[in-house]
Amino acid sequence: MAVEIDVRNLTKKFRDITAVEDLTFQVEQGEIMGLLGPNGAGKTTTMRMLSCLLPPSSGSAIVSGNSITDPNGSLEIRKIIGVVPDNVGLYDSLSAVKNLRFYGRMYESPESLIEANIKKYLQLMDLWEARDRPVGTYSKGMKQKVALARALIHDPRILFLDEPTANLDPEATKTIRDLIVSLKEQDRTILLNTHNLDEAQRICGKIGVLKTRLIAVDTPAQLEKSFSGNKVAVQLVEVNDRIMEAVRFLKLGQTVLEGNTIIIDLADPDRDTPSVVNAITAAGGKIRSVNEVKVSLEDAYFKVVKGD
Amino acid sequence: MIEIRLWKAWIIARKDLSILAGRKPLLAMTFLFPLVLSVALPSILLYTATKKHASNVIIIDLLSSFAFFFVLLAALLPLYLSSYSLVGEKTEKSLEPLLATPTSDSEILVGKYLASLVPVLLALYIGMTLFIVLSDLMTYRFIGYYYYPNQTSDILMFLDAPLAMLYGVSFGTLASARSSSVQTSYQLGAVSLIPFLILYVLGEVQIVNLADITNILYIGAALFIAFIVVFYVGRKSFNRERILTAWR
Repeated sequence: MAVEIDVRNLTKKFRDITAVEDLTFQVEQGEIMGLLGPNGAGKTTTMRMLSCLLPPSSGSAIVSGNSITDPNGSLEIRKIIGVVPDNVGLYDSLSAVKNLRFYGRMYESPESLIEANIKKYLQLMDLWEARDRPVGTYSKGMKQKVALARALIHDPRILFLDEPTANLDPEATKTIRDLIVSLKEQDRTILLNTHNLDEAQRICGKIGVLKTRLIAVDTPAQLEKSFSGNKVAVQLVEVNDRIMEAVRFLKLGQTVLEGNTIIIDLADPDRDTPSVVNAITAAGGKIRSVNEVKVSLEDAYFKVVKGD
Repeated sequence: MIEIRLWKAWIIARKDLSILAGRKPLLAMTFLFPLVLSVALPSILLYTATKKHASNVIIIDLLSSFAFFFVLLAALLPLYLSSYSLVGEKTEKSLEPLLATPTSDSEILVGKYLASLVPVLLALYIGMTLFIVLSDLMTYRFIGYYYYPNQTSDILMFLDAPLAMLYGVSFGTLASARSSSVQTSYQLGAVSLIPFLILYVLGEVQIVNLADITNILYIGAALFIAFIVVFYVGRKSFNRERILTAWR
């Protein structure tokens, strides 16, 4: 797959405050990458730099072959991206149709495409009946849907979504998540800022954990795995010193006893688990269960961000 | 060199005009102000001519100085509209998605200018036309000829008033870029009217002759320079990074 977003050593400073430091990552075409991080981690600043709203202090980023620092490139980038900012920023006194039509024209789309997309997205988001009502009368969820429709009005190849499901009820959240997943299926590239770990895990192919610097980038499964530390838990009927000595004798890694469960750090669980089991049974231990210790993405996130 | 696609600016202006159409009190005030003035000023002329038995010289003096009111109005009226236009974008937080479109900062700024200029231009010319017609009808029998239109009124109407509008709208936009509320924006914008008030007072005490063509051409030139300066400063204030990080 072609790299659609290529970020190299991107840094943004506001006077003496560093908002984003030395960011390097790539997003491939048709991929959803999530940026996870606490408030003030630099997620919105990153998105604003990539959508050519803020110039970087140093470093570079290429979005679909265009540099964000080149004025002509930035104009080209803004033609092919759709943005949902953290504030929806709709014109409250205008209807959804008028809001979308205005943006369609600002994106220089043909009138036929604008009208077709207005109908398509408002119907898809169950807003067709309310299309002529001023947006100011809409609920938060409805406004968020219109903001997403606005980002899609010109059929962009790349989407930057900043907390698109924040403060929404579960139904509206599901509609928007389903739409995001369907957009990926249409081969669109999506960069998604979110606080929501569950959301990131469900829809992102890759997750970057950001705290001014990019602390980790990987698939949700790999992130979990890398932070689980390859631990194996062996639950016994009873544990005694002889059994513990037998396990420690193997010198496989850190060994901890929690009740009747021995938790062992293994470099290679597939290779080492049989040796552990043999050692325990040879020492007279009766094994109830052997399980890999799983760390959730949430645990992994807190471990990375807070250094737990 | 700033490249501005006027058609793009016009899309923004149309959107703003559409929003303005829903703000009836603001729109009513824009049209009512020149209309009231266009009736009130000729009424004062008629009152002065009939009740005070003023000489032709006084009537002509009043006629020439009253026309200058419309230049003042041309600078005043866009202040309200431009303040609403930009402060409205701020309060609705709608500038970020607008800036994310393939549109330059100058195009957005010019779009804002057009949205304020169109209704003011319309209101002002309706008011001025009515003022000219009523003034002529009311003063003809005293001075024996139709005072308007004349060279002075033509220059005021077609040069100074449009330039005053451009100056007013650029000042209003600059004021609203530096304000977080419409009220603050008005107060800041009102500073732009001080030169006009000074000019009017100087005209009244006959230090500056506001009926003199050379003087009103100078005023036009000064307004043009002031507009360019304020536009340039406004363009500098209307900067993406500043808008996204400093505008609250």
